[in-house]
Amino acid sequence: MTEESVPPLVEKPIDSDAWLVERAVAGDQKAFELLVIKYQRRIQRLIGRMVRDVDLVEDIAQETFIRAYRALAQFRGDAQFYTWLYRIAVNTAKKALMDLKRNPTVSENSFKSDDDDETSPIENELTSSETPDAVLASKEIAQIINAALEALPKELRQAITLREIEGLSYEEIAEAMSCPIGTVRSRIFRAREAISQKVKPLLENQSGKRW
Amino acid sequence: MTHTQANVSSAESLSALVDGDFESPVLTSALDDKMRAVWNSYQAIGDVLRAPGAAASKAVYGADAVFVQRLMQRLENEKIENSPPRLTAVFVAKPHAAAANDATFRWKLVAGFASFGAMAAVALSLVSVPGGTPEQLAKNGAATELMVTSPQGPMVRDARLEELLSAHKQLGGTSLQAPSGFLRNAGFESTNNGQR
Repeated sequence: MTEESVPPLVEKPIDSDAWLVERAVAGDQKAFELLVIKYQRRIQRLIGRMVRDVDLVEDIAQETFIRAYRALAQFRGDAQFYTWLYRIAVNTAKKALMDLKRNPTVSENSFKSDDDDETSPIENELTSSETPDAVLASKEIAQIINAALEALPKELRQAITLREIEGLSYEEIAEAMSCPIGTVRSRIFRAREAISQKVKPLLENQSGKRW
Repeated sequence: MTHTQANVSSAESLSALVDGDFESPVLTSALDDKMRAVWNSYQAIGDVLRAPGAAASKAVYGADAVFVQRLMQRLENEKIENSPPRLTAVFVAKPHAAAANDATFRWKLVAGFASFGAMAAVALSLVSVPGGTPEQLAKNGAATELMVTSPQGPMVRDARLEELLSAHKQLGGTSLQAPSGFLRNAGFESTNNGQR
């Protein structure tokens, strides 16, 4: 690969989340749905580090998104949307745990120790909500995506690598690859589509239900 | 999966949206299950490529469709519950209290005839005013006149007036016009002759 030879450029913040939030506040519920699809796993993983009970993790995740939706108009865009959502998830999980402590019928197994909170340094550690089957499927998904990336034509591979791994904007990629922005957009799309065709069946199997 | 031309366009728009490059309100409104799957796979690709080393194979990628659908259904329900009440007028028929004689047709018939009769009577009274119209009254109005003798001399009086006066005379025994035995006549006499 030739990506390493590209001079480092200043990363320009690109935030489609803010636009989706704006749309959702304006009443476009599908815009919020795109945000949910984007962040559901991350939020569930975060809550899974605080709560052991698998069902409870999902309930808290649901409650997190419901609260976020209700408070969406209060999101001012000072922070990234995920940061804001993260705080809501942590507060929701803490409240759920407080409620559980008051309820003597709930098993102690629902809790995790105070050390296992959201500050856990291992971002991708396995959580209670991730079953062995799901983990196996994810491993397969990761392998397929990486293999599909390697199989891409050079221009497509370079474009998507600069975008997804290096985090460059279209303008920066266009400058680095000496091509128009439209070409960058097209190359990235074609790269994603090529990988997507390979991985989509696995993703659908993993989610348990087709979209 | 193969895309139609429209889907290719939508998928390309979604790809650009992932990168914050494309902003179109049409995009989200056209969101269907195919587009959800595309968006989901694009997000998963990014997550895998950005995941550091071995961690990439440990995380779970792609959203749970059941979770998302359940959530969106809840939001939809909440939206309906929280929507302001519509100001549509609801006309509720007021329960009609049935009269005791509602079922008796004969009573209604009688009431109808009575109403008709009353109206006819009113109309008739308007048409046949006693004395007729003012014109008729003017023509017939020549009252009978009598020549009567009064202390002031002969006078022409209306016959009805004369009748009225004579009746009063009969009843007016105690009238001040006639002398009363118990009333004393009083008069003023001036010290100056001929002056009061």
